Amino acid sequence: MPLDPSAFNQYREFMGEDADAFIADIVQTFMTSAPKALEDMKALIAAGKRTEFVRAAHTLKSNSATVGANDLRQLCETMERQGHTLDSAALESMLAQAVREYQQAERELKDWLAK
Amino acid sequence: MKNASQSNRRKYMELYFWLGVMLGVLPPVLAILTELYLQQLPLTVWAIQYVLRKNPILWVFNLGPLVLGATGYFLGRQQDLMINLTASLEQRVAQRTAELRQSNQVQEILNSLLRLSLEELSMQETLEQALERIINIPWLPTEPKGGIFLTSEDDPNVLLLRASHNMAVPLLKSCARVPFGTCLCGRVAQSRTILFTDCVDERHEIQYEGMKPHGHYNVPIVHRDKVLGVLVLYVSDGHQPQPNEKEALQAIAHTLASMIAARQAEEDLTRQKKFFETLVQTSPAAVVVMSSDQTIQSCNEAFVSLFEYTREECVGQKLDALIVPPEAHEQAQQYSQQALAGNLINQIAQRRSKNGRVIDVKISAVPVRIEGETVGVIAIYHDITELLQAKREAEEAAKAKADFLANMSHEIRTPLNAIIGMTSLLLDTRLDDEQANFVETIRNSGDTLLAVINDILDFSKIEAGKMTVEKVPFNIAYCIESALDLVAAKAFEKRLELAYVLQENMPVKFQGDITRLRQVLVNLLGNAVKFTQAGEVTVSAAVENVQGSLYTLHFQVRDTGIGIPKDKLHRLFEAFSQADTSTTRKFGGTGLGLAISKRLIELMGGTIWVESEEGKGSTFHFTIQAEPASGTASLFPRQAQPNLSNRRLLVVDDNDTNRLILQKHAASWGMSVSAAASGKEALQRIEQERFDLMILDMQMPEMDGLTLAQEIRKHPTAAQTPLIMLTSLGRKPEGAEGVAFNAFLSKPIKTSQLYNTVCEVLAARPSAEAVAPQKQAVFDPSMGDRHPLRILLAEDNLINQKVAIGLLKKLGYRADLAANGLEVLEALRRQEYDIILMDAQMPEMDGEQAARIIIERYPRGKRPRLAAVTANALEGDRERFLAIGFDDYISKPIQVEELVRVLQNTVPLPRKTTRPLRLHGESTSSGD
Repeated sequence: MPLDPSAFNQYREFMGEDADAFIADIVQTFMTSAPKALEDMKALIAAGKRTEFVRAAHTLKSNSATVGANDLRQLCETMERQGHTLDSAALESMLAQAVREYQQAERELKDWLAK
Repeated sequence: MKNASQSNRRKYMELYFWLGVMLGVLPPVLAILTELYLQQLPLTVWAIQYVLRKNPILWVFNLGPLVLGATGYFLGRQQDLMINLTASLEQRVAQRTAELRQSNQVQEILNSLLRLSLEELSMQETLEQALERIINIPWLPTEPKGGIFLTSEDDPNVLLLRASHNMAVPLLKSCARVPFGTCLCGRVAQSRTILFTDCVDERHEIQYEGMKPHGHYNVPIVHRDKVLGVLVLYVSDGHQPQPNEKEALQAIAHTLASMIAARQAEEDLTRQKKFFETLVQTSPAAVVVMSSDQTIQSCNEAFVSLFEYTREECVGQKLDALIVPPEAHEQAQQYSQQALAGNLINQIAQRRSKNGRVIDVKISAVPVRIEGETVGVIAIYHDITELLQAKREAEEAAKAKADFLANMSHEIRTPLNAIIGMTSLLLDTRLDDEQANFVETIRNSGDTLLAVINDILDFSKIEAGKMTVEKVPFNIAYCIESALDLVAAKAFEKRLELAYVLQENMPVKFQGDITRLRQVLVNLLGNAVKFTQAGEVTVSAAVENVQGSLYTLHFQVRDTGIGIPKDKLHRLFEAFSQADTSTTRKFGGTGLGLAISKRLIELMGGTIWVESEEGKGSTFHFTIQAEPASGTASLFPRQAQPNLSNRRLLVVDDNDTNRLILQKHAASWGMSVSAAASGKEALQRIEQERFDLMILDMQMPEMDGLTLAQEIRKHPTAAQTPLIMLTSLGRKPEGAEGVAFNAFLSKPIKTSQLYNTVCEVLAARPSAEAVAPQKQAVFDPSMGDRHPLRILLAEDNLINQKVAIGLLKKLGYRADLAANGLEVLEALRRQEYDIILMDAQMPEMDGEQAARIIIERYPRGKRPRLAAVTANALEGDRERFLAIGFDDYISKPIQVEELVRVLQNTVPLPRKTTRPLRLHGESTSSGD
């Protein structure tokens, strides 16, 4: 399951009645920032800017962890860790995989928000 | 001569006597004749009588012969004495002269022997020339024949004829080798006294046909109680020995002895010198001898071939100028100085040959000392170029192996993690019993496989000497707590109690390797939990010994498990050894855990041992050595806390250890503590007195914590008492919501958590006053009012910003924002903050860099508390940030408890201004 809804559990419990608004805000932000981040990462691979790429992967990793998109997080972590060593082709295929993971996560997040 | 002088004497005495008598007769005769003539009397007897009668004076004259005779006698005697004296004097002079001549000759021969000893002659030549001189001493009645025997070096009881003069040819052969005790010479060698014979007697055992009669002087040559040889001289048959002959021969033998001894010593020395020279010259190591100013005096063949200088090019040159590369000059100089100061040098360095070839050498240097004074240095160079090359290759190979192993293990671990992770997720889905059982098995096998791989990797690292221990500040309490966390799940499953206790007032911050220490603890705890079916597992730590700044810490991990048979104890810490192979089958494991622990502990300067009783349990002890970290403050306050002092606490727990730990901690904060071992006992206690707070253990026999809490909530007086529940793994028991616990604490009890929770629960309450139970009292929405803080959030990621600000807001805080390190510094210039929550990775200037600058710029007490926030939840990350100077650490995604803890631990800086607090300050900037 690419999405782990329990990621928000602790916040839900803590935020009480503010929880839904709070979580919705976070998820919305994620859904606006993540596609842009993925695009940026693609451009960064092409430009050979590996340091920036690794940083972007790190940020996306952190964000996907927050919303519970575990598979995406795992991919980002690998890209972060190996961003300096892997060749561009490998990174690109990984990134393509990440885009797919994101789309999957986005669908689930939307469903989940609708509930 | 004596007889002659005697007769002479008598002659003179008689002669002078009679001369005196005759001269004495003359005066009376002349007087009588004159009187007769004057009286005209005839020469008759009558007339003489008459005259005599008439002239009595004539009687006086008549005495003349008597007087003169006597005088003559005495004169004669005098003369006699004179002559006698002269004769004896002459005789003595002659004798003395002869003696002097002899002793002169002896002296001369001795001198000439001494001169001989100064000449550069071989032993053979020395002996021959000495012999020639001795047999030619003129006064010695020897025949010009003789020989010198020396004691054989191979057999100290045999004489060898080493020099001879004019000796008969047959003798040269038969006397070539004479055993001690045989013939004259052999006898003398044995008796060590000079021997004289005036004929060939039975002692003269070695004879030959046609031997002429002769006699011998056989003189032993003795030096310092050792018979060096025998000198044999020939004398003519029937020779009467004179006493001085022996004396002279004795003296000669003496000189001869010291000469021979000196010559022998010299020969030994030469032999030794030659031996050593050969040794040095043929040594495969390059050897060079230098004077104290490092000028080369000599060198060997190996030196020439190693450094490619000819001997002529070396000698007289300074060593360093020839073979030391310029960059190593200073170091080489140091070695020389050290060697000259009398130290042995043993170093590995690089030297250069004449042709510029760089050579790896092992240098050994020793000072050359003569009578305590260092006069030079001997340096020995072993060419280890190939050795080092081989070593490098071996190391590369080992590294390649280790890299391979590390890579492999990474490659294995990544999919394995996926297997474990996915099976965990799978377990949360709808499965029937059989499926769940299969998945459970996959999951457990995955865990086991991961543990095995980790163990093997660690072990190979240790075996390769690659394992190093870090020295960074860490907190012992935190270390033990995090180790306990890792085994808490298993312990919970088996209903085992977990607890730990630190020695009272011991420092908790030390320099060391928390990861490795935790690894050891987790291993021991894992074993303890694995081998214990019921009861408890406890950890304790104490200071065993302090030497200067070095502490020896003693840890104990005690269980109430199956124990270890005595005969298995000694093999316990060996690799691939478990107490029993059947144990492996039953309990699993690689058998590497204890071996790894042992090595790790040894790396940390300690030892590990075990006490165990079968059926009763085991206690693993180990020690480590560590220095306390600066600012050795306890993680939590040890002294009485004003807000806690005298507050009354009731601890309800059936486990003695846990109860004791809770009691001890609370008492150290000044609380007044009572304890009950069961729910029933607790209910009795609340009948008798009122408490400010109760801590209830969930799992208790008969009446569990939940039931007890329900009872308390129904109680007329105690219903409003705040309750803290102790659970395992922080799992809230079902139905707990209905009881309204004020807080939950998970076991093992973490001291800091206990303290914070107790503080929080009691904070808003006056002593023993009933307050309506609150929902979510653990996270206090009024915390911002109760504990106001000025917070700066340094974070570039929009989502993280939102999360953090949202959580803070809920707690009653508002934070200012900075998007990178530069903005943080900028904000600090404008305003004071009590705490900065700093993301580690930010563009422009990251959190680490910013923290370093802040620490540099603002002194402790004037700077905000620094909390690192990072998504790299790597092990050891926390320690790394603390080492940089961060005061605290939060991992992302941010956990509410962690955030609360960090804020709780923040002490606001003293306010400079008197204007109202800006609790809800405007954002100074916003990132993204």
